[in-house]
Amino acid sequence: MSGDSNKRHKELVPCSSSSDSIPPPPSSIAAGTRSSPSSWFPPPSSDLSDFTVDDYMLVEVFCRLPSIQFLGQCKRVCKSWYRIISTHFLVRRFINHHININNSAAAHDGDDTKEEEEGNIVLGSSDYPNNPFLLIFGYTVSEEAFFRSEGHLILRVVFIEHAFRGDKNLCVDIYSSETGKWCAFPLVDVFHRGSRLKCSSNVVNWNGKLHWHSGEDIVAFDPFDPHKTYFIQDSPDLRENPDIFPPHCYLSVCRGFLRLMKIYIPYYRRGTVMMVWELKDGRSGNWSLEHNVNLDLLMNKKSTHISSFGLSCHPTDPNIVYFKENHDIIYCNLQTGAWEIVSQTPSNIDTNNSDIVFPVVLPPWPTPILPVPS
Amino acid sequence: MSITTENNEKMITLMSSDGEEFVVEEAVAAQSQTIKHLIEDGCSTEGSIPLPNVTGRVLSEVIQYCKKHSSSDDKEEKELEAWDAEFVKAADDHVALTDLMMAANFLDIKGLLDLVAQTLANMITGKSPEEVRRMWNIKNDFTPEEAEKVRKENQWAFE
Repeated sequence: MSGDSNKRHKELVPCSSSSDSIPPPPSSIAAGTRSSPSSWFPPPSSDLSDFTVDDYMLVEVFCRLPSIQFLGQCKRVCKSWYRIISTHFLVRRFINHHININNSAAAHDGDDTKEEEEGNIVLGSSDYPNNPFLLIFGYTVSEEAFFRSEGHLILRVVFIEHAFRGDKNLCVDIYSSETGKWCAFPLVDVFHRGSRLKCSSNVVNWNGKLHWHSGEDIVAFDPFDPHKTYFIQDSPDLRENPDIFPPHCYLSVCRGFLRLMKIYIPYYRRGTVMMVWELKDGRSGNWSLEHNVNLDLLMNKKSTHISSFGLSCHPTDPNIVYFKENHDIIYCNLQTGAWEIVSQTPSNIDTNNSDIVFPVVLPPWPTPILPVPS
Repeated sequence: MSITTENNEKMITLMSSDGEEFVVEEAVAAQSQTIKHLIEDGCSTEGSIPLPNVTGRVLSEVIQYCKKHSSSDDKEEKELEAWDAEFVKAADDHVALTDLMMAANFLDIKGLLDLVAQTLANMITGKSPEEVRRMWNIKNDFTPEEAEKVRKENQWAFE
Protein backbone atom coordinates (compact mmCIF):
# COMPACT_ATOMS: atom_id res chain seq x y z
CA MET A 1 0.00 0.00 0.00
CA SER A 2 2.81 2.43 0.69
CA GLY A 3 3.82 4.65 -2.19
CA ASP A 4 0.62 3.96 -3.99
CA SER A 5 -0.66 7.49 -4.18
CA ASN A 6 -2.67 7.19 -7.37
CA LYS A 7 -5.39 4.99 -6.05
CA ARG A 8 -8.30 6.36 -4.19
CA HIS A 9 -7.66 5.72 -0.60
CA LYS A 10 -9.89 4.32 1.98
CA GLU A 11 -11.16 6.85 4.37
CA LEU A 12 -10.60 5.78 7.89
CA VAL A 13 -13.67 6.22 9.97
CA PRO A 14 -12.73 5.77 13.56
CA CYS A 15 -15.72 4.51 15.45
CA SER A 16 -15.35 6.06 18.81
CA SER A 17 -16.34 4.42 21.99
CA SER A 18 -18.68 7.22 22.85
CA SER A 19 -21.19 4.76 24.16
CA ASP A 20 -19.13 4.66 27.32
CA SER A 21 -20.25 8.10 28.26
CA ILE A 22 -23.98 7.60 28.11
CA PRO A 23 -26.24 5.80 30.52
CA PRO A 24 -26.46 2.08 29.87
CA PRO A 25 -29.11 1.26 27.30
CA PRO A 26 -31.84 -1.30 28.01
CA SER A 27 -30.31 -4.74 28.08
CA SER A 28 -32.14 -5.90 24.98
CA ILE A 29 -30.24 -3.31 22.97
CA ALA A 30 -26.99 -4.03 24.66
CA ALA A 31 -27.25 -7.72 23.95
CA GLY A 32 -27.57 -7.12 20.25
CA THR A 33 -24.59 -4.90 19.77
CA ARG A 34 -22.01 -5.97 22.25
CA SER A 35 -20.16 -9.15 22.77
CA SER A 36 -18.34 -9.63 25.99
CA PRO A 37 -14.66 -10.22 25.35
CA SER A 38 -13.12 -13.45 26.51
CA SER A 39 -11.04 -13.11 29.61
CA TRP A 40 -7.71 -13.30 27.88
CA PHE A 41 -8.51 -10.47 25.50
CA PRO A 42 -6.83 -7.69 27.41
CA PRO A 43 -7.88 -4.10 26.98
CA PRO A 44 -5.15 -1.97 25.44
CA SER A 45 -3.05 -0.68 28.27
CA SER A 46 0.33 0.73 28.94
CA ASP A 47 0.81 -1.47 31.93
CA LEU A 48 4.18 -3.14 31.68
CA SER A 49 4.28 -4.71 35.10
CA ASP A 50 3.91 -8.22 33.74
CA PHE A 51 6.41 -7.83 30.92
CA THR A 52 9.29 -10.28 31.08
CA VAL A 53 12.72 -9.79 29.59
CA ASP A 54 11.66 -12.04 26.73
CA ASP A 55 8.68 -9.79 26.13
CA TYR A 56 10.95 -6.76 25.87
CA MET A 57 13.07 -8.60 23.36
CA LEU A 58 9.95 -9.26 21.31
CA VAL A 59 9.08 -5.58 21.54
CA GLU A 60 12.44 -4.80 19.96
CA VAL A 61 11.59 -7.13 17.09
CA PHE A 62 7.96 -6.06 16.70
CA CYS A 63 8.72 -2.36 16.50
CA ARG A 64 10.99 -3.10 13.52
CA LEU A 65 8.34 -4.86 11.46
CA PRO A 66 7.63 -3.03 8.22
CA SER A 67 3.97 -2.22 8.65
CA ILE A 68 1.28 -1.93 11.25
CA GLN A 69 -0.83 -4.27 9.16
CA PHE A 70 1.72 -7.00 9.46
CA LEU A 71 2.14 -6.24 13.13
CA GLY A 72 -1.59 -6.82 13.53
CA GLN A 73 -1.30 -10.12 11.74
CA CYS A 74 1.37 -11.23 14.20
CA LYS A 75 -1.25 -11.06 16.95
CA ARG A 76 -2.48 -14.35 15.56
CA VAL A 77 0.69 -16.28 16.40
CA CYS A 78 -0.01 -16.90 20.07
CA LYS A 79 -1.55 -15.35 23.16
CA SER A 80 1.59 -13.78 24.49
CA TRP A 81 2.25 -12.09 21.14
CA TYR A 82 -1.36 -10.93 21.12
CA ARG A 83 -0.95 -9.47 24.58
CA ILE A 84 2.28 -7.61 23.78
CA ILE A 85 1.08 -6.25 20.46
CA SER A 86 -2.10 -4.99 22.12
CA THR A 87 -0.25 -2.67 24.50
CA HIS A 88 0.05 1.05 23.96
CA PHE A 89 3.67 0.70 24.89
CA LEU A 90 4.31 -1.28 21.74
CA VAL A 91 2.32 1.09 19.55
CA ARG A 92 4.39 3.97 20.81
CA ARG A 93 7.63 2.13 20.27
CA PHE A 94 6.53 1.25 16.76
CA ILE A 95 5.68 4.85 15.95
CA ASN A 96 8.91 6.15 17.43
CA HIS A 97 10.95 3.67 15.50
CA HIS A 98 9.31 4.40 12.18
CA ILE A 99 9.34 8.15 12.60
CA ASN A 100 13.02 8.07 13.48
CA ILE A 101 14.12 5.89 10.61
CA ASN A 102 12.14 7.98 8.16
CA ASN A 103 13.39 11.34 9.35
CA SER A 104 15.93 11.56 6.59
CA ALA A 105 13.78 10.00 3.90
CA ALA A 106 12.86 11.80 0.73
CA ALA A 107 9.81 14.01 0.69
CA HIS A 108 6.36 12.66 0.22
CA ASP A 109 5.49 11.80 -3.35
CA GLY A 110 1.74 12.31 -3.04
CA ASP A 111 0.14 14.26 -5.87
CA ASP A 112 -1.79 16.57 -3.61
CA THR A 113 0.86 17.61 -1.17
CA LYS A 114 3.32 19.29 -3.46
CA GLU A 115 2.89 22.65 -1.83
CA GLU A 116 4.79 21.57 1.19
CA GLU A 117 7.49 24.01 2.08
CA GLU A 118 9.74 24.42 4.95
CA GLY A 119 7.83 26.22 7.64
CA ASN A 120 4.49 24.68 6.84
CA ILE A 121 2.85 21.98 8.78
CA VAL A 122 2.25 19.09 6.51
CA LEU A 123 1.49 15.66 7.38
CA GLY A 124 1.76 12.86 5.53
CA SER A 125 -0.92 10.46 5.30
CA SER A 126 -2.58 9.72 2.01
CA ASP A 127 -5.69 8.80 3.94
CA TYR A 128 -5.94 12.30 5.29
CA PRO A 129 -4.25 14.36 2.61
CA ASN A 130 -2.64 17.47 3.97
CA ASN A 131 -3.84 17.06 7.48
CA PRO A 132 -1.25 18.55 9.72
CA PHE A 133 -1.78 15.96 12.39
CA LEU A 134 -1.70 12.28 12.64
CA LEU A 135 -4.40 10.84 14.71
CA ILE A 136 -4.04 7.52 16.35
CA PHE A 137 -6.62 5.54 18.17
CA GLY A 138 -5.24 2.22 19.12
CA TYR A 139 -4.67 0.73 15.73
CA THR A 140 -6.94 2.92 13.68
CA VAL A 141 -4.06 4.19 11.70
CA SER A 142 -2.63 3.40 8.34
CA GLU A 143 0.81 2.42 7.31
CA GLU A 144 1.26 5.69 5.47
CA ALA A 145 0.68 7.59 8.62
CA PHE A 146 4.08 6.47 9.73
CA PHE A 147 6.05 6.13 6.59
CA ARG A 148 5.14 9.47 5.16
CA SER A 149 6.08 11.34 8.28
CA GLU A 150 9.05 12.82 6.55
CA GLY A 151 12.06 14.64 7.79
CA HIS A 152 12.19 18.44 7.70
CA LEU A 153 8.51 18.59 8.39
CA ILE A 154 7.19 19.71 11.69
CA LEU A 155 4.57 17.40 12.96
CA ARG A 156 2.80 16.17 16.01
CA VAL A 157 1.48 12.75 16.62
CA VAL A 158 -1.29 12.85 19.17
CA PHE A 159 -2.27 9.78 21.07
CA ILE A 160 -5.59 10.10 22.85
CA GLU A 161 -6.72 7.44 25.20
CA HIS A 162 -10.43 7.37 25.46
CA ALA A 163 -11.69 8.12 28.90
CA PHE A 164 -13.13 4.73 29.56
CA ARG A 165 -15.63 4.18 32.30
CA GLY A 166 -15.87 7.75 33.39
CA ASP A 167 -12.17 8.16 33.97
CA LYS A 168 -11.71 11.86 34.34
CA ASN A 169 -7.99 11.99 33.92
CA LEU A 170 -7.93 12.53 30.21
CA CYS A 171 -4.35 12.83 29.18
CA VAL A 172 -3.01 13.15 25.69
CA ASP A 173 0.44 12.05 24.62
CA ILE A 174 2.09 14.24 22.04
CA TYR A 175 5.03 13.33 19.87
CA SER A 176 7.08 16.27 18.67
CA SER A 177 9.19 15.90 15.55
CA GLU A 178 11.56 18.61 16.77
CA THR A 179 12.49 16.93 20.00
CA GLY A 180 11.83 13.38 18.84
CA LYS A 181 10.12 12.74 22.13
CA TRP A 182 6.68 11.95 23.48
CA CYS A 183 5.34 13.95 26.33
CA ALA A 184 2.14 13.66 28.25
CA PHE A 185 -0.15 16.63 28.55
CA PRO A 186 -2.64 16.31 31.38
CA LEU A 187 -5.59 18.26 30.04
CA VAL A 188 -7.62 18.03 33.19
CA ASP A 189 -4.90 19.43 35.41
CA VAL A 190 -4.27 22.35 33.11
CA PHE A 191 -7.83 23.39 32.44
CA HIS A 192 -9.36 22.44 35.78
CA ARG A 193 -12.48 21.26 34.10
CA GLY A 194 -12.80 17.85 35.61
CA SER A 195 -15.31 15.73 33.81
CA ARG A 196 -15.71 18.32 31.09
CA LEU A 197 -12.60 16.98 29.44
CA LYS A 198 -13.72 13.55 28.58
CA CYS A 199 -13.28 12.41 25.05
CA SER A 200 -16.73 11.12 24.29
CA SER A 201 -16.75 11.30 20.52
CA ASN A 202 -14.42 10.67 17.66
CA VAL A 203 -11.67 13.20 17.04
CA VAL A 204 -11.36 15.26 13.88
CA ASN A 205 -8.75 17.64 12.65
CA TRP A 206 -10.22 20.94 11.58
CA ASN A 207 -8.89 24.47 11.38
CA GLY A 208 -5.50 23.47 12.69
CA LYS A 209 -6.87 21.94 15.86
CA LEU A 210 -8.04 18.55 16.96
CA HIS A 211 -11.67 18.59 17.94
CA TRP A 212 -13.67 16.22 20.04
CA HIS A 213 -16.86 16.28 22.05
CA SER A 214 -16.29 16.28 25.76
CA GLY A 215 -19.87 15.44 26.66
CA GLU A 216 -20.56 19.10 27.37
CA ASP A 217 -18.83 21.08 24.69
CA ILE A 218 -16.32 20.76 21.89
CA VAL A 219 -12.66 20.74 22.81
CA ALA A 220 -10.45 22.44 20.22
CA PHE A 221 -7.05 21.08 21.13
CA ASP A 222 -3.90 22.66 19.75
CA PRO A 223 -1.15 20.05 19.62
CA PHE A 224 1.46 22.73 18.95
CA ASP A 225 0.52 24.74 21.98
CA PRO A 226 -1.83 22.79 24.24
CA HIS A 227 -2.26 25.83 26.46
CA LYS A 228 -4.04 27.56 23.58
CA THR A 229 -6.71 24.91 23.60
CA TYR A 230 -10.18 26.43 23.68
CA PHE A 231 -13.74 25.23 23.93
CA ILE A 232 -16.64 25.64 21.55
CA GLN A 233 -20.12 25.72 22.94
CA ASP A 234 -22.15 22.63 22.14
CA SER A 235 -25.06 22.87 19.71
CA PRO A 236 -28.41 23.57 21.40
CA ASP A 237 -30.05 20.64 23.13
CA LEU A 238 -33.37 20.11 21.38
CA ARG A 239 -34.54 17.20 23.47
CA GLU A 240 -38.18 17.69 24.23
CA ASN A 241 -38.45 14.68 26.39
CA PRO A 242 -36.32 13.92 29.41
CA ASP A 243 -36.73 10.21 28.66
CA ILE A 244 -34.30 10.61 25.83
CA PHE A 245 -30.70 9.97 26.59
CA PRO A 246 -28.01 12.49 25.82
CA PRO A 247 -27.08 11.94 22.20
CA HIS A 248 -24.21 10.07 20.67
CA CYS A 249 -22.02 12.72 19.07
CA TYR A 250 -19.88 12.41 15.96
CA LEU A 251 -17.72 15.08 14.41
CA SER A 252 -16.92 15.35 10.73
CA VAL A 253 -15.76 17.94 8.28
CA CYS A 254 -17.96 18.66 5.28
CA ARG A 255 -16.79 21.08 2.61
CA GLY A 256 -14.48 22.67 5.10
CA PHE A 257 -17.07 23.15 7.85
CA LEU A 258 -17.07 21.34 11.14
CA ARG A 259 -20.16 19.18 11.47
CA LEU A 260 -21.64 17.66 14.55
CA MET A 261 -23.90 14.66 14.08
CA LYS A 262 -26.06 13.86 17.08
CA ILE A 263 -28.14 10.74 17.40
CA TYR A 264 -30.86 10.72 20.03
CA ILE A 265 -32.08 7.29 20.99
CA PRO A 266 -35.40 7.21 22.82
CA TYR A 267 -35.79 5.04 25.84
CA TYR A 268 -38.79 2.94 24.83
CA ARG A 269 -40.74 4.48 22.02
CA ARG A 270 -39.84 4.73 18.38
CA GLY A 271 -38.11 7.75 17.11
CA THR A 272 -34.36 7.65 16.77
CA VAL A 273 -33.53 11.17 15.71
CA MET A 274 -30.47 12.32 13.86
CA MET A 275 -29.56 15.98 13.89
CA VAL A 276 -26.70 17.37 11.86
CA TRP A 277 -25.31 20.72 12.92
CA GLU A 278 -22.78 22.84 11.11
CA LEU A 279 -20.52 25.34 12.82
CA LYS A 280 -20.87 28.64 10.99
CA ASP A 281 -18.09 30.50 12.70
CA GLY A 282 -15.10 29.50 14.72
CA ARG A 283 -15.29 29.85 18.46
CA SER A 284 -18.66 31.30 19.30
CA GLY A 285 -20.64 28.13 18.87
CA ASN A 286 -22.93 29.52 16.18
CA TRP A 287 -24.41 26.25 15.04
CA SER A 288 -26.84 25.89 12.20
CA LEU A 289 -29.22 22.94 12.11
CA GLU A 290 -28.80 21.34 8.68
CA HIS A 291 -30.82 18.18 9.15
CA ASN A 292 -33.32 16.90 11.69
CA VAL A 293 -34.54 13.47 10.68
CA ASN A 294 -36.42 10.66 12.36
CA LEU A 295 -34.34 7.70 11.29
CA ASP A 296 -36.92 5.11 12.27
CA LEU A 297 -39.56 6.69 10.05
CA LEU A 298 -37.12 7.28 7.26
CA MET A 299 -36.00 3.69 7.25
CA ASN A 300 -39.45 2.35 8.06
CA LYS A 301 -38.02 0.30 10.87
CA LYS A 302 -40.07 -2.40 12.46
CA SER A 303 -37.91 -3.01 15.45
CA THR A 304 -36.98 -0.33 17.91
CA HIS A 305 -34.31 -2.44 19.49
CA ILE A 306 -31.63 -1.30 17.15
CA SER A 307 -29.32 1.51 18.06
CA SER A 308 -27.73 3.72 15.49
CA PHE A 309 -24.13 4.81 15.65
CA GLY A 310 -22.94 7.70 13.55
CA LEU A 311 -19.85 7.10 11.46
CA SER A 312 -19.23 10.08 9.23
CA CYS A 313 -20.68 12.89 7.19
CA HIS A 314 -19.81 12.83 3.53
CA PRO A 315 -16.84 15.14 3.03
CA THR A 316 -18.29 16.92 0.01
CA ASP A 317 -22.03 16.22 -0.18
CA PRO A 318 -23.79 17.95 2.72
CA ASN A 319 -26.85 15.71 2.50
CA ILE A 320 -25.12 12.38 2.88
CA VAL A 321 -24.22 10.68 6.11
CA TYR A 322 -22.95 7.26 7.06
CA PHE A 323 -24.08 5.44 10.14
CA LYS A 324 -24.24 1.97 11.54
CA GLU A 325 -27.23 -0.08 12.67
CA ASN A 326 -26.07 -3.20 14.39
CA HIS A 327 -23.77 -4.64 11.75
CA ASP A 328 -24.99 -2.72 8.75
CA ILE A 329 -23.12 0.29 7.48
CA ILE A 330 -25.71 2.58 5.96
CA TYR A 331 -25.37 5.32 3.42
CA CYS A 332 -28.23 7.79 3.69
CA ASN A 333 -29.22 10.91 1.82
CA LEU A 334 -31.05 12.91 4.48
CA GLN A 335 -32.56 15.24 1.88
CA THR A 336 -34.19 12.64 -0.35
CA GLY A 337 -34.55 9.92 2.23
CA ALA A 338 -32.76 7.41 0.02
CA TRP A 339 -30.65 4.94 1.91
CA GLU A 340 -28.85 1.69 1.34
CA ILE A 341 -26.70 -0.79 3.19
CA VAL A 342 -23.25 -0.35 1.70
CA SER A 343 -21.29 -2.76 3.81
CA GLN A 344 -21.50 -4.96 6.82
CA THR A 345 -19.25 -5.53 9.74
CA PRO A 346 -18.59 -9.11 10.75
CA SER A 347 -21.21 -10.19 13.21
CA ASN A 348 -18.79 -11.59 15.73
CA ILE A 349 -16.76 -8.46 16.20
CA ASP A 350 -17.50 -5.83 18.75
CA THR A 351 -17.64 -2.96 16.31
CA ASN A 352 -18.05 -0.43 19.05
CA ASN A 353 -14.36 -0.76 19.61
CA SER A 354 -12.32 2.16 18.45
CA ASP A 355 -9.83 0.09 16.51
CA ILE A 356 -12.01 -0.86 13.62
CA VAL A 357 -11.48 0.48 10.14
CA PHE A 358 -14.61 0.73 8.03
CA PRO A 359 -14.07 -0.08 4.37
CA VAL A 360 -16.05 2.84 3.03
CA VAL A 361 -14.33 4.91 0.38
CA LEU A 362 -15.00 8.60 0.62
CA PRO A 363 -13.60 11.27 -1.66
CA PRO A 364 -10.88 13.39 -0.15
CA TRP A 365 -11.40 16.93 1.00
CA PRO A 366 -8.10 18.67 1.49
CA THR A 367 -7.37 20.27 4.80
CA PRO A 368 -5.69 23.63 4.38
CA ILE A 369 -2.09 23.78 5.46
CA LEU A 370 -1.56 26.31 8.19
CA PRO A 371 1.70 28.08 8.86
CA VAL A 372 3.74 26.83 11.77
CA PRO A 373 2.70 28.67 14.91
CA SER A 374 5.51 30.94 15.97
CA MET B 1 42.41 -6.89 36.06
CA SER B 2 43.92 -3.92 34.34
CA ILE B 3 46.82 -4.69 32.04
CA THR B 4 48.60 -2.35 29.70
CA THR B 5 49.99 -3.63 26.41
CA GLU B 6 53.12 -2.45 24.63
CA ASN B 7 51.04 0.01 22.61
CA ASN B 8 49.83 1.49 25.85
CA GLU B 9 46.42 0.06 25.11
CA LYS B 10 44.63 -0.62 28.34
CA MET B 11 43.25 -4.14 28.53
CA ILE B 12 40.39 -5.33 30.65
CA THR B 13 39.08 -8.77 31.50
CA LEU B 14 35.46 -9.82 31.09
CA MET B 15 34.11 -12.95 32.70
CA SER B 16 31.11 -14.77 31.31
CA SER B 17 28.41 -16.45 33.36
CA ASP B 18 30.09 -19.83 32.86
CA GLY B 19 33.45 -18.55 34.09
CA GLU B 20 35.21 -18.00 30.79
CA GLU B 21 37.57 -15.01 30.76
CA PHE B 22 38.13 -12.69 27.81
CA VAL B 23 40.89 -10.12 27.74
CA VAL B 24 40.01 -7.25 25.43
CA GLU B 25 41.17 -3.73 24.74
CA GLU B 26 39.28 -1.16 26.71
CA ALA B 27 38.20 0.60 23.51
CA VAL B 28 36.57 -2.62 22.34
CA ALA B 29 34.78 -3.30 25.63
CA ALA B 30 33.63 0.31 25.83
CA GLN B 31 31.39 -0.27 22.80
CA SER B 32 29.13 -1.57 25.51
CA GLN B 33 27.65 1.36 27.42
CA THR B 34 27.17 -0.89 30.42
CA ILE B 35 30.86 -1.81 30.56
CA LYS B 36 31.89 1.74 29.74
CA HIS B 37 30.05 3.00 32.78
CA LEU B 38 31.52 0.25 34.94
CA ILE B 39 35.01 1.28 33.79
CA GLU B 40 34.26 4.94 34.44
CA ASP B 41 33.11 4.03 37.91
CA GLY B 42 36.39 2.28 38.50
CA CYS B 43 35.05 -1.26 38.60
CA SER B 44 37.63 -2.65 36.24
CA THR B 45 40.75 -1.77 38.17
CA GLU B 46 40.88 -4.98 40.06
CA GLY B 47 39.93 -8.43 38.89
CA SER B 48 37.66 -9.06 35.95
CA ILE B 49 34.23 -7.66 35.17
CA PRO B 50 31.66 -10.38 35.78
CA LEU B 51 28.83 -10.57 33.26
CA PRO B 52 26.36 -12.92 34.92
CA ASN B 53 23.80 -12.74 32.11
CA VAL B 54 26.06 -13.65 29.22
CA THR B 55 27.50 -17.06 28.41
CA GLY B 56 31.00 -17.50 27.01
CA ARG B 57 29.69 -18.55 23.62
CA VAL B 58 27.56 -15.43 23.27
CA LEU B 59 30.20 -13.17 24.77
CA SER B 60 32.77 -14.28 22.23
CA GLU B 61 30.36 -13.30 19.45
CA VAL B 62 29.65 -9.97 21.08
CA ILE B 63 33.37 -9.29 21.39
CA GLN B 64 33.85 -10.21 17.75
CA TYR B 65 31.26 -7.59 16.84
CA CYS B 66 32.73 -4.96 19.13
CA LYS B 67 36.25 -5.54 17.79
CA LYS B 68 35.08 -5.05 14.24
CA HIS B 69 33.11 -1.95 15.06
CA SER B 70 35.78 -0.29 17.16
CA SER B 71 38.43 -0.77 14.50
CA SER B 72 36.40 0.45 11.53
CA ASP B 73 35.85 4.09 10.77
CA ASP B 74 32.98 5.67 8.88
CA LYS B 75 34.62 5.39 5.49
CA GLU B 76 34.25 1.66 5.58
CA GLU B 77 30.53 1.77 6.07
CA LYS B 78 29.73 -0.45 3.09
CA GLU B 79 32.24 -3.04 4.13
CA LEU B 80 30.95 -2.92 7.68
CA GLU B 81 27.40 -3.53 6.48
CA ALA B 82 28.54 -6.57 4.56
CA TRP B 83 30.42 -7.79 7.61
CA ASP B 84 27.31 -7.31 9.77
CA ALA B 85 25.25 -9.32 7.30
CA GLU B 86 27.74 -12.19 7.44
CA PHE B 87 27.92 -11.92 11.21
CA VAL B 88 24.18 -12.44 11.75
CA LYS B 89 24.10 -15.11 9.07
CA ALA B 90 26.65 -17.05 11.08
CA ALA B 91 24.37 -16.97 14.12
CA ASP B 92 21.84 -18.58 11.84
CA ASP B 93 18.89 -19.58 14.00
CA HIS B 94 16.57 -17.45 16.03
CA VAL B 95 17.59 -18.93 19.37
CA ALA B 96 21.20 -17.88 18.89
CA LEU B 97 20.03 -14.49 17.65
CA THR B 98 17.74 -14.04 20.64
CA ASP B 99 20.62 -14.84 23.01
CA LEU B 100 22.73 -12.33 21.15
CA MET B 101 20.00 -9.73 21.37
CA MET B 102 19.57 -10.24 25.11
CA ALA B 103 23.30 -9.80 25.56
CA ALA B 104 23.25 -6.67 23.39
CA ASN B 105 20.38 -5.36 25.50
CA PHE B 106 22.09 -6.13 28.80
CA LEU B 107 25.44 -4.76 27.65
CA ASP B 108 23.71 -1.79 26.00
CA ILE B 109 25.30 -2.03 22.56
CA LYS B 110 22.83 -0.18 20.41
CA GLY B 111 24.27 -1.11 17.03
CA LEU B 112 24.22 -4.80 17.80
CA LEU B 113 20.71 -4.65 19.23
CA ASP B 114 19.49 -2.87 16.09
CA LEU B 115 21.22 -5.36 13.87
CA VAL B 116 19.90 -8.47 15.56
CA ALA B 117 16.37 -7.18 16.18
CA GLN B 118 16.08 -6.11 12.55
CA THR B 119 17.37 -9.50 11.43
CA LEU B 120 14.73 -11.25 13.51
CA ALA B 121 12.04 -8.87 12.23
CA ASN B 122 13.10 -9.62 8.66
CA MET B 123 12.89 -13.34 9.36
CA ILE B 124 9.18 -13.20 10.14
CA THR B 125 8.16 -10.42 7.75
CA GLY B 126 5.72 -11.67 5.17
CA LYS B 127 5.29 -15.04 6.85
CA SER B 128 1.91 -16.40 7.83
CA PRO B 129 1.24 -16.95 11.54
CA GLU B 130 1.61 -20.70 10.96
CA GLU B 131 4.98 -20.26 9.26
CA VAL B 132 6.15 -18.01 12.08
CA ARG B 133 5.14 -20.62 14.65
CA ARG B 134 6.93 -23.39 12.80
CA MET B 135 10.06 -21.32 12.26
CA TRP B 136 10.34 -20.17 15.87
CA ASN B 137 8.86 -23.23 17.47
CA ILE B 138 5.95 -21.38 19.07
CA LYS B 139 2.93 -23.24 20.36
CA ASN B 140 -0.42 -22.05 19.10
CA ASP B 141 -2.30 -21.64 22.36
CA PHE B 142 -5.49 -20.20 20.89
CA THR B 143 -8.59 -22.34 20.96
CA PRO B 144 -10.17 -22.64 17.49
CA GLU B 145 -12.84 -20.10 18.53
CA GLU B 146 -10.29 -17.63 19.82
CA ALA B 147 -8.13 -18.08 16.74
CA GLU B 148 -11.09 -17.37 14.52
CA LYS B 149 -11.94 -14.28 16.51
CA VAL B 150 -8.42 -12.89 16.27
CA ARG B 151 -8.26 -13.76 12.60
CA LYS B 152 -11.50 -11.94 11.85
CA GLU B 153 -10.46 -9.00 13.93
CA ASN B 154 -7.31 -8.52 11.95
CA GLN B 155 -8.62 -9.45 8.57
CA TRP B 156 -11.23 -6.81 9.06
CA ALA B 157 -9.09 -4.08 10.48
CA PHE B 158 -6.25 -4.38 8.04
CA GLU B 159 -7.55 -5.58 4.74
